[in-house]
Amino acid sequence: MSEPLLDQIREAKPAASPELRSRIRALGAEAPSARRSRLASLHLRPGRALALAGSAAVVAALGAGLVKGLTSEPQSHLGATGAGQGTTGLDQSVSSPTGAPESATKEPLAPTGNLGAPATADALAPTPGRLQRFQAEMRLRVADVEELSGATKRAMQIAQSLRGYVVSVQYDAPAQGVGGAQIVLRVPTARVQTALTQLSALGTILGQSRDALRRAGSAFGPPGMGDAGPAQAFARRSATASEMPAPAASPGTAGEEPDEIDRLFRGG
Amino acid sequence: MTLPARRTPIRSVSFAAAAAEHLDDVYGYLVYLTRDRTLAEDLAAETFEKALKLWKRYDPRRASARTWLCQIARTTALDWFRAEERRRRREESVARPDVIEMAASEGLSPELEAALASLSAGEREVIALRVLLELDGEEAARVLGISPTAVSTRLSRALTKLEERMAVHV
Repeated sequence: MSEPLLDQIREAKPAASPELRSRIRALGAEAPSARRSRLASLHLRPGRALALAGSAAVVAALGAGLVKGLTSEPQSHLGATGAGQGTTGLDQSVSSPTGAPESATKEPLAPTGNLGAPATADALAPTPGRLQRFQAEMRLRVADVEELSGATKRAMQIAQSLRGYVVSVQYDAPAQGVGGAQIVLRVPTARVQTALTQLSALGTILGQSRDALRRAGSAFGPPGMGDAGPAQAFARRSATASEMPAPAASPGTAGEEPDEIDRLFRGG
Repeated sequence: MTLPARRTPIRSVSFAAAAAEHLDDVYGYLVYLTRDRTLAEDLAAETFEKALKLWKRYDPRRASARTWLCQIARTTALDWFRAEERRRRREESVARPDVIEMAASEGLSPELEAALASLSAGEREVIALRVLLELDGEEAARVLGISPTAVSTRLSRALTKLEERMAVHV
């Protein structure tokens, strides 16, 4: 092909409009804050609370059990609208902090003094104008039903010892067959790592995942849906060990059918 | 045919810098791909929004920012056209779909523009990447998800076809 034609194509390269350019520039201006908030996850965040949800299951026939933990850290005012849902058995034997769900919507769970303390590796730092949510899931196996009972109690005690509280517990330990428990806990952001460390000592770790989410705006979920909603939904979904969240897909097109572009684009 | 490659040196760049530097590349690529400047603008904006979210995963050692952005642009365009295809199927029984036409390109002769418009999207795409953006064969292959040899073959056929169409129009 003649070089002049190629030159004509190169020289007539479409240029983005000023509107698009300013739009992308504005987008680029957001990038530093996104990075900052990512790095800020290493610092304490005053006024934030963290929800810790856990579940446990025991396969009595095998003499084994599972304990799951899920932590989430929504904006404190989102609170635990679902707190107390499904609380049975052991949940009642361990008293929750007074007015925990409501108070959690107004005040940080961790003492102010601690929030001003040097940062710990697991806390989230504030990002102006953005909400942050931190959640983690831990699945543990314990030896038998008795250990499951003890582990469940201990998990709730851990939450309380860390100035958190129990959002919900579902405990099921039948004489035969599969038993289990789901524990939803909330602990201060600054003590997430401690909570995870202590929870992990309750049994054999089968799986663990952590996730930090940030969103602009005033709420994470649908209106009226507090953090306990997504937390419990997540706990239900992850009740099956094989249903752990999949890693995000690569942005690339390696798996695309190259010729699909012609099929999709009309006029091609 | 030997086309010069404009390689971006490997360096750590900020998202804002990469976006500013490669906006025209991404937009130009999308214009050639879609033949619709308005749509290309929307897809370019969406591309950079996605890129911002994924920026922390960008590894300059694996691909230049331009190649990476073009990959995202392609995925974005494909997603859009997949959705559009579904919508069109639903609506075809009700109304005839609009035909997307490439807006007049400044600087292109009417003959060349008509010849480009007569090419397939895949052919325009490889011309956009190799000629317009001056990616080398390896980079273009990465964007298209095919081998460099296939890129070379596709480009050769596209340019031959373009030349033939030009001859018809002239």
